[in-house]
Amino acid sequence: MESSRTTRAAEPADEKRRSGRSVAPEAAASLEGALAAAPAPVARRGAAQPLTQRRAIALQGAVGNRAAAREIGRMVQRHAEGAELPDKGEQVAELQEKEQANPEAELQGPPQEGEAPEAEAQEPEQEAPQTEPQPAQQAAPEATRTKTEEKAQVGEAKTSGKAFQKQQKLTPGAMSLATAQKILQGAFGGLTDIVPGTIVILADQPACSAKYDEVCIADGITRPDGSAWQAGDCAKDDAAAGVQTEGFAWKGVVYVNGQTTLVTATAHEILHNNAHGGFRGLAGETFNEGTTELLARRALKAAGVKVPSVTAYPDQVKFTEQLEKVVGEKALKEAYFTNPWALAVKFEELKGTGAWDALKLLAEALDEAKFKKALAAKKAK
Amino acid sequence: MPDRTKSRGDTGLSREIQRFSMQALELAKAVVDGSATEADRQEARELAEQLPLLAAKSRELSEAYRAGAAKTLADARLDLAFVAADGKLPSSTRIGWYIKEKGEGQGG
Repeated sequence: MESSRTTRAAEPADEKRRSGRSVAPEAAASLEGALAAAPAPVARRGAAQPLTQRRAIALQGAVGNRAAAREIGRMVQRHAEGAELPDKGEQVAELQEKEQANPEAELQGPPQEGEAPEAEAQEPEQEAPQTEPQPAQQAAPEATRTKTEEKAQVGEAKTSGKAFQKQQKLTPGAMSLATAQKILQGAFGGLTDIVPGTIVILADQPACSAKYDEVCIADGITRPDGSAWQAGDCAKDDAAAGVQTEGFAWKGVVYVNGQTTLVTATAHEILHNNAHGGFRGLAGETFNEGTTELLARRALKAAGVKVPSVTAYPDQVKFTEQLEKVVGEKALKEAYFTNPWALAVKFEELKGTGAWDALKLLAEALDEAKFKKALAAKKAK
Repeated sequence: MPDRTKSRGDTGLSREIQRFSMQALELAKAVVDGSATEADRQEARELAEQLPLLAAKSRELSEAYRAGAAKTLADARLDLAFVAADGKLPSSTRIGWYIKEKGEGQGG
């Protein structure tokens, strides 16, 4: 049993994705061609990813607009195989330009199970804990910003940070979605437009347990013994395990304890909502959580919020900081928000083919000694 | 002067907790992926039995590690229950994001 656990814990997350998803052979072949300049393992990894809107944008960044348009065109081809479109090149390029202008509308499919519901309450402007779901804004605007916008957003972030800091002295608690969104927009608005997602901040930990029970009861969920779920069952299960539920997810909504002692809690969850869909698969769980927490901490600090040394995911943050020293902050941030595959490419440029997968395994196993050795290693010839 | 012995002990226990939680997460991801087996559910039950002892040990951690460890174990508790219920229970937030990302990948 122990060995199977070890294997599972160390297994790269994208291995399962690779085996569990089908990619049209022609799409895989064309992507391999597009990523031919990358080291072999990275190119293979890229080929195994399904085409998403974000992936399409990442592909544009990696190989250029026209080549990406050609690849996208092949993947979504719907006319009879072999029947060439008239003026195909121009038509594909034109479609691609429209996708750039309004990417979500062009490429987003119907809502999937687990995605945030569309019709939710409006984004509040006040700092008080919210009790209703917030909207997941579906259409993200342009990812870049002008200098003027940057100045305004950074200013708003600092104003929000100071207001939060002041309020913490009176009534400590979780940051509101509005404040966290402004702070993160100030920090990362040059890479992506931060959308809060469907996150509900509950009053406190007992409210968190009560909400868990509420959704279970509402959905007719039964206990392991077959009896109906009842109020108090979550707290009972927590007590038996010696823990307290601080947050949970159900049907696309994330619920967070509003009295959490972790100051980054709200920003951390919002960042997950804005991370590139392929980052977790490429980077693994250690770097996924480590980068999320590291970015949340830095954004809060930059906005003037006092961030204590106490952190969620201390080991993951530590491993990520060490990785960042090798690849650089810019590469890490860009990978997180816009192009995960570039992180592996960059690392393998520095350390040699296959080095990324090896490093990721060590990070997943939290094997610090071997991880440090791998980071310090010279490029394999 | 910081107590280095205590710090090393904290690091070791913190890692043990993180690895434990990672195992719970991977089992829950298998449920989301539809690849969980009866052996996985059995493993989840066994891990759940270890949780109270680990939670008790976590309270000995210094403050710098305690809050993070508490959250990590609470997430593990939710994920193990999620596995035992074959996905028919609310999950940890991290599994919530995993479900969302999978939806984006498949819907894209």
